[in-house]
Amino acid sequence: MNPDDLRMMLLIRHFELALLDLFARGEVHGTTHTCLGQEAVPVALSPLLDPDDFVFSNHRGHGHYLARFDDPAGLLAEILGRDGAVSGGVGGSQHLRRGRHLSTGVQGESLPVAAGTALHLARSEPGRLACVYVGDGTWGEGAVYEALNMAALWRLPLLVAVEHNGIAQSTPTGAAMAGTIAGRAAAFGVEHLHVDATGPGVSVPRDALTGPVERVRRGAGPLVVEFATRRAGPHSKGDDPRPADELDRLRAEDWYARLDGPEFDRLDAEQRARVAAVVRDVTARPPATGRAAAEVEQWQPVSV
Amino acid sequence: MAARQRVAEHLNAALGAALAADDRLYLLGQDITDPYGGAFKITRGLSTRFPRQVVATPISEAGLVGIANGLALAGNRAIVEMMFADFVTLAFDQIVNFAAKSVSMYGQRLPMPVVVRCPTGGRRGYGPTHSQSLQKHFLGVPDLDVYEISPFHDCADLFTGVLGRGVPALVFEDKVLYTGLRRPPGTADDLFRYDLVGPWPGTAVVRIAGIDPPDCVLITPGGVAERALVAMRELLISREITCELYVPARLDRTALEPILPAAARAGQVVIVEDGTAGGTWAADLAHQLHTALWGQLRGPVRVVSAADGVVPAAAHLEEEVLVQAGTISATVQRGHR
Amino acid sequence: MSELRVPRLNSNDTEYTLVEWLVATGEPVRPGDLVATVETSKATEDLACADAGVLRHLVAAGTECAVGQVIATVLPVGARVPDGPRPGTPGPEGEPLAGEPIVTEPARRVMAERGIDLAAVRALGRPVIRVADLDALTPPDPGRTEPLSPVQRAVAAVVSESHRSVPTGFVAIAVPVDDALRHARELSRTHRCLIGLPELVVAALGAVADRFPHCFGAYVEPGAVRRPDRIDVGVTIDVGQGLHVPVVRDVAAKPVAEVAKELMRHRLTALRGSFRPADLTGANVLLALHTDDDVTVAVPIVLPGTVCAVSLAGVQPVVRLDADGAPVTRSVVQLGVAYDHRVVNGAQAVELLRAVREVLLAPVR
Repeated sequence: MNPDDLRMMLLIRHFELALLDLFARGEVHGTTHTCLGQEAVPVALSPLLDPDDFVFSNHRGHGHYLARFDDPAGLLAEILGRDGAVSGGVGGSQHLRRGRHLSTGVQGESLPVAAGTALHLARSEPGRLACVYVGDGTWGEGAVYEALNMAALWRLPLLVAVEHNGIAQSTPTGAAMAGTIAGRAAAFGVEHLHVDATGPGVSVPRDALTGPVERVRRGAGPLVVEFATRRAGPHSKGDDPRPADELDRLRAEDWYARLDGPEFDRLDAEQRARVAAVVRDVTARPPATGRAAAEVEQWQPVSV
Repeated sequence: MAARQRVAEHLNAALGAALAADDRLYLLGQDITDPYGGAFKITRGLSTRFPRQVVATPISEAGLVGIANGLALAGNRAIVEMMFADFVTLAFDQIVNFAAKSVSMYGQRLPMPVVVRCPTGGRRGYGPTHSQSLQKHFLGVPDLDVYEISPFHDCADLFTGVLGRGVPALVFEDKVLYTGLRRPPGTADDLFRYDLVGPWPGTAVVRIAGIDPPDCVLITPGGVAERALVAMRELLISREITCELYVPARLDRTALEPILPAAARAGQVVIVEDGTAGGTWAADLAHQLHTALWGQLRGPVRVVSAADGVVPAAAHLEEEVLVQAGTISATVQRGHR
Repeated sequence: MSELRVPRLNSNDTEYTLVEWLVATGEPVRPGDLVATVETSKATEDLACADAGVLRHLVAAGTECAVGQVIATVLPVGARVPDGPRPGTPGPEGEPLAGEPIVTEPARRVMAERGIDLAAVRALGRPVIRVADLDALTPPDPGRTEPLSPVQRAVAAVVSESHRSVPTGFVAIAVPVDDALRHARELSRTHRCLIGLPELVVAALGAVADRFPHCFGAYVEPGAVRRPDRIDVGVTIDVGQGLHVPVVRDVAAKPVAEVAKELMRHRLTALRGSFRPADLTGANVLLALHTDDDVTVAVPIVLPGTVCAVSLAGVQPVVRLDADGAPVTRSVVQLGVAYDHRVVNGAQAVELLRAVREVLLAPVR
């Protein structure tokens, strides 16, 4: 496994674990949704994205942000409301924006918006795409279908990355979805791809995506990629109603539990230490000012 | 500007000018392209002149406002037409949760130049789901502006200004105004003159030159202005009660300064709106005027709203629900006694 | 005269454009003639007039007209279209709009009451005519109100003030005057001037004044009376030029003939109508003359700043029994006094009148 990919997987893992620890110690105001178990999705996808692609993330978006920007300090500062926060401490865990990367906390809301940016890209910046991360539960929202319809109709460069972890907060997918995501994409004539992103390897799903993503860039129309993944943690914190045996099975199948060896131990210790340092740094910072971190502010829409 | 123009033609010209001035401006909506040109023909001819910028969408209000939001995020600007203002409820999330919040929730000002045009109000017999006045539901949202056109304001100036602010906005357009005439500068009709005063986008002050102070100050949004004029004429001619009418184009954060001096001199204020009572523009404005003019008014600020019911289709039933000139006149007389 | 109004031609329209006049202003029209074309939101339509007469345009072609707006009047057959404001566009701020003024209904009612015609109203050049504007236009109807003369306005002020500020009582006594009248005639002959009962009463007031100082004083707030230095009697004179009250000065020090001469001068001044302020100020008692013989008794007004006002009524014949029991006719006048009740009460007032009667019954030279 590419050590950089593993390094990023481990960064995300230790970041989320540290967050749960901070949460347990009462250091986190409000709530947060960790992506434990789903690290492979953004790590597989991010190298396929261009810096000027739009990326729309969601409530479970720490991994999306870290895989794209490798900025644990900015993210932790945002979550803890400390100086150097990505969104100045206003947005918090679910509302990050850095350049063309945005997350929002309302299910399905970002699909039409992503389609709008894709309309712009198709006309003014051909070759770039809009990627939107959604969960399987998001497919209950009507806005998803309005957006898919228009994206297919207008052949927009829209990449829908579905993190199918089998559960929406507390509701199993089977209790919320009739039919399949593939069937729904097919209804709009939209290409659908199913890839395994349970980890630890990310090269297989990435390689499977390389060609289709390139076709999206070239104007083939939207693509729905369904990533099979697992939510190893609770929805937010301590609210996982799944039976104990299922949780045991999830932990046993978790990519982190399946890796070992000196190289893994070295990288694991490295990222654990890195995150610990970030936590020490950020928790010592003064409160956030409400103004986004300086490097984010300088970003302007790309002129065409 | 043409010597005489119906409001629909005026809006069409204003949109055309805006599209011509900025090739990154998009116009989105249902059935807005030629030859149909929109349900109210406001966009007629524009898709022929600006084929790249005018985009007809499916029947997907949330989706098309989302498209507009995405275009704005990518550095464009967008004007969206709701076929009927009633349908804007379908796009409430995109407007309130995405467009408005994005302006500030990422810790910096993010321009979101998106304008949602809403053909509003009744008096055309379209019935309960095509006749509402929903302005109040959008008031008080941070970074969301709410405007209403009038026969007095220049819509080209309005669109230019709204898009320039970089804050998402709703522009309500009373459907009955479309076929009416835009008032030429300065002249409301054979009896009344008007001036635009106060901060942009201005408040139209409609009055008879040389009569001051008026007996009553009327405040209405643009869609009610015509009915207010009828009431003012009747009050003057039948009873010699003089009114000065204030028509602000901006409904959220309506500027008080242009209104306060005349309201204080008159000592009587009536605010009229076309929607149902309860958490409304008029109620909020009345509260502000009470606070600002406490002790200077002869009586309470009176508010006229539509009756507490849906807007019926049948003409005689619709008339009972919606504000009529006679309602305005009767309310002014009650305050005058 | 009838009016041509813009009808509602479409349910959604509130105004139309007057595209053109089909009949020129000043031209005759018959009922049903198409006189104007208006453009609605949907089509153009021609408007017909209802009456015969002469058409007068009130707005120019090209104008936007509200539904219900009067755009023309039909004047009576043969009428000349008046000059004056022409139809046109509004003037700058503050100037009247050209064309027919809009007259409020209350103003129309007042116009009808006062007989004001539309031409006069039009000449005001105001876009809107209200009742208040009509007051500026015309003197009010002569049959209804007219201003009082300056003299009467002065009277009005004095009597109003008296009524407002002096609480009065009134008493009168009968005074047999046969001897006094005879005496007066003798004096007239002797002094070659007119001496009658008024002159005798003025002189008598001077003669008795020192016994009734309060009756010739003035009430002073909050409960005092100022005594007079001398007795100046104001006498009412009305010779047809309005009521005046010139003052005969210091009557206690003057023989009756001088009193008579001074009064005569005042009468002549009243005829010429040019009293000086000094002639009319400073009285400390009033003598109100109601000497028309039809007057039986008179209640005078107390001048503000005085206490008593004496009134002299007309001479009345009364039948009395003489010492032998035979009926005889005597001349009697009612001598009255209105008095400031804050200073003087009825008993003193009667005493004052009796004292004057005594002087008249036993005349001095």
